[in-house]
Amino acid sequence: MNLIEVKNLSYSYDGKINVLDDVSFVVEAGKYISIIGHNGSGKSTIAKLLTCLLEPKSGSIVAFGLKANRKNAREIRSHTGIVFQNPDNQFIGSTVRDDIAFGLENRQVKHEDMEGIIQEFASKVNMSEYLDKEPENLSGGQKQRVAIAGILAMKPDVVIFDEATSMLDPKGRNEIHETIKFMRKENPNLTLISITHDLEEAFASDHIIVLNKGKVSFEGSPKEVLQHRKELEEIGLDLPFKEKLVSLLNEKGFSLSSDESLERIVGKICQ
Amino acid sequence: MAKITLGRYVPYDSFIHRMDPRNKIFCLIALMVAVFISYSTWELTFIVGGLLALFVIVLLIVSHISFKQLFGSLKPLWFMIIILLVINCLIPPRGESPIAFSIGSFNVYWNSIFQSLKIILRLVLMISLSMILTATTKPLDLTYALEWYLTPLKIIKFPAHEVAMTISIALRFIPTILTEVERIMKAQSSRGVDFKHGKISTKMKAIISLIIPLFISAFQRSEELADAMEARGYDPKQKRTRYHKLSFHILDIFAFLLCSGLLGATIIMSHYDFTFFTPSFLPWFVVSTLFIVIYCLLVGIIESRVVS
Repeated sequence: MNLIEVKNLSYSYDGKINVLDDVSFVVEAGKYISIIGHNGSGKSTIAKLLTCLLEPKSGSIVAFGLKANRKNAREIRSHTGIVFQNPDNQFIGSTVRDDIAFGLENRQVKHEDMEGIIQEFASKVNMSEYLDKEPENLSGGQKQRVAIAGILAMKPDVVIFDEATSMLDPKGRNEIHETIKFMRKENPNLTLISITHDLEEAFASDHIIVLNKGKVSFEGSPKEVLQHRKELEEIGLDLPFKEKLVSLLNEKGFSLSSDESLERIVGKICQ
Repeated sequence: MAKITLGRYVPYDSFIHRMDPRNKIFCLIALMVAVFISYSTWELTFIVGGLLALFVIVLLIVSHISFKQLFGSLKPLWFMIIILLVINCLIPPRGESPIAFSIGSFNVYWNSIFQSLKIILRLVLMISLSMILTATTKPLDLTYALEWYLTPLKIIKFPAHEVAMTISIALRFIPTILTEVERIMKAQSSRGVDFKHGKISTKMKAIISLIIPLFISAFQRSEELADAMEARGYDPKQKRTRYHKLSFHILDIFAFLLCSGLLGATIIMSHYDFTFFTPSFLPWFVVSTLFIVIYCLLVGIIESRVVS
């Protein structure tokens, strides 16, 4: 089932340069999709369009059977959650507890039910011990996990990560990757859209859409996308370390596959 | 960055910490008015003043505010207090007054000394009282209380909820922005900007190099924050439920009665003195009490309508 259908979407902020130019793709329910592209490829604009923070200029987005526009914004947002890039600028409450409660208050969840929901979702992202902490006493990764908890508590069908790991240190990044893995395992029906310029992150997903200068360059499963190694490098996207290693070694006459673990590759080289 | 010690919230589990913030604000105002009431004789002024001071000291002990912290926050006031003393002593009082002592041909009167002592007592009590309020109440709870007091103004289309939300976001972002200030100062210092030395004009220029990036980032922040709030379904015009519920306990009723009783007692004392209030004050007293009662009822009615 197609949850979101994007058809011939174009968008421009100033009316002259098209940030998005005739973009079409579909998002199937329960899939983990990555949209990758270099800076200025228009990928963050897609995130804003999908959450109705912007309205499409031409073309259309149909999400959950509704056309994305101002009128349907509330309905669409009740199905969609988004984690933004900057951990500080999406922390609205004064403590972890209040921040998770913020979305629930908007959703008019009853006062009596809130405490239980907050406890439940804080424990899902391993933030139970930090419930009364203020944002200035949390690391970037912890703040992003709170943002994820706040969104999951609203029970969305789709969660969008808009470069959610790009401002984090490697530790925080790993924490978020683990959380994403956990989310998929716990609720296989949850659809994830990850917008990123980190190929390593994108390769964990089911389907990759590569954007370049506002257009879809190509799309497919991680394996299919890997066939376009040259194009990816031209766009300026760095291949994951393992892929790069394997391809360089194969050029030297090895016959390795990137499906194998790094240890086995090392073992094969040493033979 | 220097830590703001004045009125910083100090977490502790005391009776005053647990009080309803709305009630706390009411009690604070009641006590402040009580502190500011005048009496005809100096004896009465200082007896009542002393009793109130004693009461405030008890409150300070109950709410676990260290006296060290209190004196720390009074520090900037010492200068003002000395000036007040000197000026009051230099100006001869109105009416008759015994001379305390003379310096050469200049007389210092007892009235002037008492007058300045009274002002100092009031100042210190007022600061202690507001410190009790802010040190025992989370800023956010204060905001909720403020919102509650502003609810009746919704009738004249005053955006009470929006104002409270704005204040609570401002409070949330103070530490974030302070960290940002520190970072920009370091970045500019490493590029040769000197914030500490030089003439005022060069210092002003240095400050501009701090303020402009700070403003740009603040605007960016606000834009992103607005997006994040909207994406999470926030709409100021729409009804919202509340995670924090303010609740009035039995102890609150006790505190309410105690503080209004204190205020009433001081008003009556002063009234029978016929100095501060004219005899026609009594009807005004009744009218204002009625006004407060009607106000509270109105708030109650509107509150229940908003929630349901």
